[in-house]
Amino acid sequence: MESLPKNLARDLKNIVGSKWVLTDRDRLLAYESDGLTAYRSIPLAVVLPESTSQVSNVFKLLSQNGIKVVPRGAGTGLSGGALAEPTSVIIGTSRMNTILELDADNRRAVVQPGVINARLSEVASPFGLYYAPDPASQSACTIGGNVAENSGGPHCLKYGVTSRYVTGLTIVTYEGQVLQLGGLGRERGSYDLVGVFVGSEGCFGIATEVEVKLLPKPEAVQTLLAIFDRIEDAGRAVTSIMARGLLPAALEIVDGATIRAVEASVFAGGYPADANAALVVEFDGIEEGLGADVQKAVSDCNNSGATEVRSAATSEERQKLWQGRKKAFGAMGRIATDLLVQDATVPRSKLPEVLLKISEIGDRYDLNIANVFHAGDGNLHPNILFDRSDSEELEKVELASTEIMKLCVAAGGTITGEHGVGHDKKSYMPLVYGIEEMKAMKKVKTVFDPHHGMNPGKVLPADI
Amino acid sequence: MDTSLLREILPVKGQVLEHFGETDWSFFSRQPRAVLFPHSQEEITSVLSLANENNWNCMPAGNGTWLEGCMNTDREVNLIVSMSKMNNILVHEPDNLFVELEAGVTLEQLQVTLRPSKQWLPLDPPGKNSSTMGAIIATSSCGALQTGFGRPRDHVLGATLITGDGKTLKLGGKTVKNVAGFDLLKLLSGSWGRFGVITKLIMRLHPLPEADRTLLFSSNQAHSGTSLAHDIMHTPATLQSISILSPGLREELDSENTGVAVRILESEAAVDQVEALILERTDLLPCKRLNGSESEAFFESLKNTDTDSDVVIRIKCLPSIMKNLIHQIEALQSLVADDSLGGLQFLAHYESGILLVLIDKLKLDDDWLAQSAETLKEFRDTVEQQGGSLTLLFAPEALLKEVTPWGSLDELETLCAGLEKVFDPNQILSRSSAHRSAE
Amino acid sequence: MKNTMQSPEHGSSESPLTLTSLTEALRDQEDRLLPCVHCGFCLPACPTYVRLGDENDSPRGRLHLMKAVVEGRMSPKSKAFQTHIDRCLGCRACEPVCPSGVEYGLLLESAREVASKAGGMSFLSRALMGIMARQPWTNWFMGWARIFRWTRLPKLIARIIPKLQVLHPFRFGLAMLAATSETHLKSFTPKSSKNEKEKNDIIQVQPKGRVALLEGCVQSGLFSRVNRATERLLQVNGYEVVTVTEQGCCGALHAHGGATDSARKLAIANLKAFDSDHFDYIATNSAGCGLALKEYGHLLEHDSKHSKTAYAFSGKVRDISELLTMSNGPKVGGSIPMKVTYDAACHLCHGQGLLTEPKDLLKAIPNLEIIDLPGEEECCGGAGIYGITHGDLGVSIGEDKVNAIKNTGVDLVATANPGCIMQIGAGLILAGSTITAQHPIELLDESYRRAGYYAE
Ligand SMILES: Cc1cc2nc3c(=O)[nH]c(=O)nc-3n(C[C@H](O)[C@H](O)[C@H](O)COP(=O)(O)OP(=O)(O)OC[C@H]3O[C@@H](n4cnc5c(N)ncnc54)[C@H](O)[C@@H]3O)c2cc1C
Ligand SMILES: Cc1cc2nc3c(=O)[nH]c(=O)nc-3n(C[C@H](O)[C@H](O)[C@H](O)COP(=O)(O)OP(=O)(O)OC[C@H]3O[C@@H](n4cnc5c(N)ncnc54)[C@H](O)[C@@H]3O)c2cc1C
Ligand code: SF4
Ligand code: SF4
Repeated sequence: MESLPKNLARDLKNIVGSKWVLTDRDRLLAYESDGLTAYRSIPLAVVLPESTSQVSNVFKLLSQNGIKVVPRGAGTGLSGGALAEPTSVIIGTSRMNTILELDADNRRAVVQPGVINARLSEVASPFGLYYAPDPASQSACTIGGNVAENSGGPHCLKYGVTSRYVTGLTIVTYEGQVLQLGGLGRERGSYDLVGVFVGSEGCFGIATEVEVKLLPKPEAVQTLLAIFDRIEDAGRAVTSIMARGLLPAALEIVDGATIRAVEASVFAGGYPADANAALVVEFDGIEEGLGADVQKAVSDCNNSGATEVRSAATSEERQKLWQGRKKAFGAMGRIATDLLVQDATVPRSKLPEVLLKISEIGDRYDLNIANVFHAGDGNLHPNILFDRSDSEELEKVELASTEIMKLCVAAGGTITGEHGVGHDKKSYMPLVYGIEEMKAMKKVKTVFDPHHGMNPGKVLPADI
Repeated sequence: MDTSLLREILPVKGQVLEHFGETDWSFFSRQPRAVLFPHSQEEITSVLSLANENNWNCMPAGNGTWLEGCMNTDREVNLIVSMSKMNNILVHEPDNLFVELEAGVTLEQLQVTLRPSKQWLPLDPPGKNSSTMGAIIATSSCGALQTGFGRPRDHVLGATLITGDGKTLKLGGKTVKNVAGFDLLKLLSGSWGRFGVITKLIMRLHPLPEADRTLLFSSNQAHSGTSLAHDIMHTPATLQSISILSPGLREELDSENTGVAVRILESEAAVDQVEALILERTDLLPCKRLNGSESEAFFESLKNTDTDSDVVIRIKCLPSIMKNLIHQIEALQSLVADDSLGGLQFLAHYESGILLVLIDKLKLDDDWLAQSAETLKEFRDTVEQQGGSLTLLFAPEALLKEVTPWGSLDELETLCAGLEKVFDPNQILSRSSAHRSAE
Repeated sequence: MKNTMQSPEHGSSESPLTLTSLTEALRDQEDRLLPCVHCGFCLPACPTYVRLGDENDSPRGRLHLMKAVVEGRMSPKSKAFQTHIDRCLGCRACEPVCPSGVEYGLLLESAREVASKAGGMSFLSRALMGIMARQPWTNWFMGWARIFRWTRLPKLIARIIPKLQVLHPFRFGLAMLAATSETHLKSFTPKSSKNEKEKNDIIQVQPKGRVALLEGCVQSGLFSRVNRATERLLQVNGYEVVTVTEQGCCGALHAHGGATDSARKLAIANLKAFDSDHFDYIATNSAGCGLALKEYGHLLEHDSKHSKTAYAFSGKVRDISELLTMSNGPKVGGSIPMKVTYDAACHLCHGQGLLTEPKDLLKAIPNLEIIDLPGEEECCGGAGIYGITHGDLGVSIGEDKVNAIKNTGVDLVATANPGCIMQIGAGLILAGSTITAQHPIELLDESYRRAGYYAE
């Protein structure tokens, strides 16, 4: 096993304090995976700095010694993005968790990257504000991780993904240079550097301060739950709601397999267990406007063959309707030994067709595939349930995954809508991009990171 | 320069325009050798390859209405590659709320096509109706609606770029959510044609709102323009734009006082409620109400406010310091010709922190250049001290050279230059770039 | 899945054989470990992770360490395993937030058992557990403590001892003892005390049930007044209270501390003492003891002789707040015009899912102004003797709690666990605050006294 040279460990400790440099192999084990446990790799060391200047000094030291770095937030990523090779050092942002500025007057905040997504909204709440991007993992994932993955969430249908809300960044490059990109209150004659940094999966540099835009909390929220016998019907309801020109805050579907998993768990939300699809529709905005929108959506659901439509206005009732959607991931963890959460997008109108084909793929490989998805923006999460110890099944999972990816791309979609490419999906990149696009991506990375010391081996296939 | 090679690539009559004199296609004091009108991506690729071989400087363009935008100061151009002839709307999928089009499509053309399906692209860039979509993205032009709907970059789902060295890159896709690979698409917005020619775009669409209403307020002793805008911004409702207008800028408002225009795009059921919320915030100050096409027309005219100005200055700041800056604009009065009545105007998009200062007619006495440059530089310092920035968006060439359009880029210089080299290694698109003029 | 980036290596020189026997306890729990999907939802809930930022000090990290031990990738003797398992507060804040329903608390007990067998535990912990395991020793120890407390010296000395790292355990220990003193509420009597002490008759139609009270070692040693108050409240609210003489320590300290064998012995002793067939409920007023009793079933699940009785016993255990809020809630008492806040003991809110019930007890007191405590569900750092054994961290966690309480501007903080009363009370004393910590039961008891429910 590799180990960090003693003098380097000492110098790192001098920068961040001895408690915050982990080099003992047993303590590094906890950092061998992120939210995707299919991959394990023990890093060379973990360093937990608390400020931009500490990060800069740590990076200078490591880059001078040719040691590569991997940023890590909360490690909830689902594409192996924070996975570190045995020769790389993880830079964790867990101690950089201060909200530096909450500027309610200008509806903006400046935070350190380790601030938890949901905490920002919590702190902004007394000012009537919130941070709009709401990944399902928002109670745990960090703003830095969100920036790196350009995360989305159920409510991005109406409000857009992370990149729309990140207005400025302080980044540290591998060489330790501190750069200010963007800023809500000023413009510079530069290209959209913030825009290209968001979604760079830790491969360009590390974000050490993030300026974000906050939104006023909607005056009122109303939620509907519609139950269907056939998933295609739920898909049609989605299409007709959108075709009318309504713009719900969220449109989410869970399929029968998922409903049964949730209902069998401690998180049962009271969905009918024989249903084959449940559609959650949420509207937010001005009280007066909502009633009419909700009525229209109800009739769209009914016309599409809903067997039951429930609605909720209080937050407890809403919680209940959301239960089946929000607890899906955990509930599946309880019924299957292993779970592969896939992520792909297709244009919305292709959903029914693609879903049908996914279930065919599942049948063909004799695998259980449960679907939970952001129907409004065509973001699918086919969850494949399997048993890792069965090597034959493992292979089938791999083949089925690839087929699903190809299917989505053929339908006009792409290989990831929100979880990122990371380590896991590098091999799928050629499905959506040609050599030239990938080369251009590599060159842009090189502009930010000339020595290729940031998050090595991620996003682009090795031969690019 | 031998244009016959170009005529081989672009054989149709009118595809290669030479000897056009001082028409739309000349900019600042420069006369490009020829303007090219390709009909296909292949033609563009061939043109750019040829240009690389011969070291000809090129500039992509749309309809050429904004070649004198500040980023083109100092730009050396032999050939202009215009997208005007590539103006087809390729695919419109109303169900999926996207449209795919060639970059030469004008915004107006697009909106007309979308209207029957009750959809639109909520962008209102300043300038003429002949603005092409490619150029709007390339210049990242936007107006009042950016408050509610975002900037051009927020509407682009995908694009095709033919890079300076003639490679075709397909970026992004058709879906709103897409995080496959690094987001190079973002770089196109505000690229000013320095990375290549944008040939196709996939744009995200929105449903047309049922109701369009504008409320016009006039400031008074108790409510200044900025304090009104501030109060309105903090109404618990999403507003599509909140603009502050200097006295006399628009005839719909009284000529003595600063005006505030708020646009509400909502469902029929909600629009009255939003209005009530706003009025509650503004202590029921009287206001003028414009509905439907009147509201639309008001903003349409607002977007052309700056078209006749000699100088357009764009200040970007946090809303909270706008009040201060509006007071300080007075310092620029010395630039204005004596006989120009109301020659110093402003238009602000409050929540977006944009303050446009318009100088109708410059004072052109003996040492105007030195004096104006001095004043502008001082004013830039004032703005920067408060954390904002000042861009000289449009001005006579001489002034632009003295003042430089942007403040200093400092350490970002290397990154920007590096990016240009990625897409245009021989630098045929950005020879003598405005970026490097700061060095 | 695809090839792992690197195959895990064995980092220990331990022979697999010894490893097996040592990790047996954990291996038993493998089914409980597997549902952890590594999602990280538990990280922000964990007081140690929030403060230290080291994944190893997070629930997911600790579970990962346990898995590594079970998989034989790490020795239970390793410093990492020992340190981080020991540093866990056992507050279970990680349980309610886990989407997979991982039973962390139970796993921790097994991990502690494995850790202590492999490595041992601190002298102080061992000494305390030793005393608690033997009733006469406990009585002797508590007796001296009471006498010392009576002298009022602990508070005085604690406040004058210099704030030196080495003296911390001593200083904090004294403050904890001082914090167990009774608070007199005389100064908080209503101005117009006209209808004070109106005679309220105790009308007993039919008892709601027969209840046996767990006395608890610390409770009976230092808080016997709380036990007596509990009995009075139960009676006023229609329960029949029966005294069980042979009962002993519940074993919570031992189970949570990894001395599982002692815990099992104590549990079996209590099963015998409380013949649960004779009672409808077994009541506790200590969150930690209550949780331990509720988990006897699990503790003895592999003990074929006792497991059935243990499950039956656990099924009857109720926290006092559960009993009093059942069917129409507690009777309304007399007025106590003061400001209080409530801090949720971890083993009550996370461990037993009781958050509103204890607050409902306070709501039965007229004129008591209840102010919400921000972060009421966050651990106070009590966790047994954590405040003493984990100097730095314990102090930092405790200080955050004390500051939050001070910011509410209350006269008193109510919390339903002796450990928490001592931890918070000590913190307040050392911070020079006049706010005191008390069990909510004591407040309600005083309120009932004022209402004249007790024939005096
Ligand atoms: C149950 C569950 C549900 C989820 N739901 C969603 C969802 O709805 N939408 C969604 O988009 N995602 C979702 N995710 C995925 C994941 O939560 C997001 O990708 C999240 O943004 C990752 O944040 P993190 O702090 O955990 O980052 P990590 O996993 O630690 O890191 C992710 C990547 O970001 C990089 N990185 C981290 N911090 C920085 C920084 N400061 N600067 C530069 N690079 C950095 C890392 O190198 C890595 O490549 C879900 C995950 C789980 C487990
Ligand atoms: C009078 C007037 C005032 C204006 N005021 C403002 C203002 O205040 N703020 C503002 O932001 N904009 C302003 N604009 C610009 C306007 O909003 C549009 O961006 C512009 O009019 C686009 O029109 P065009 O097609 O003629 O572009 P052109 O003038 O042809 O091109 C403008 C720039 O975009 C680049 N470009 C054009 N097409 C492409 C392409 N396909 N690929 C790559 N690069 C391309 C060109 O290289 C050129 O640098 C103004 C325009 C006018 C006419
Ligand atoms: S929340 Fe539960 S499943 Fe997720 S990491 Fe923590 S213990 Fe594991
Ligand atoms: S019990 Fe408390 S301290 Fe221990 S891991 Fe869970 S939350 Fe953290």
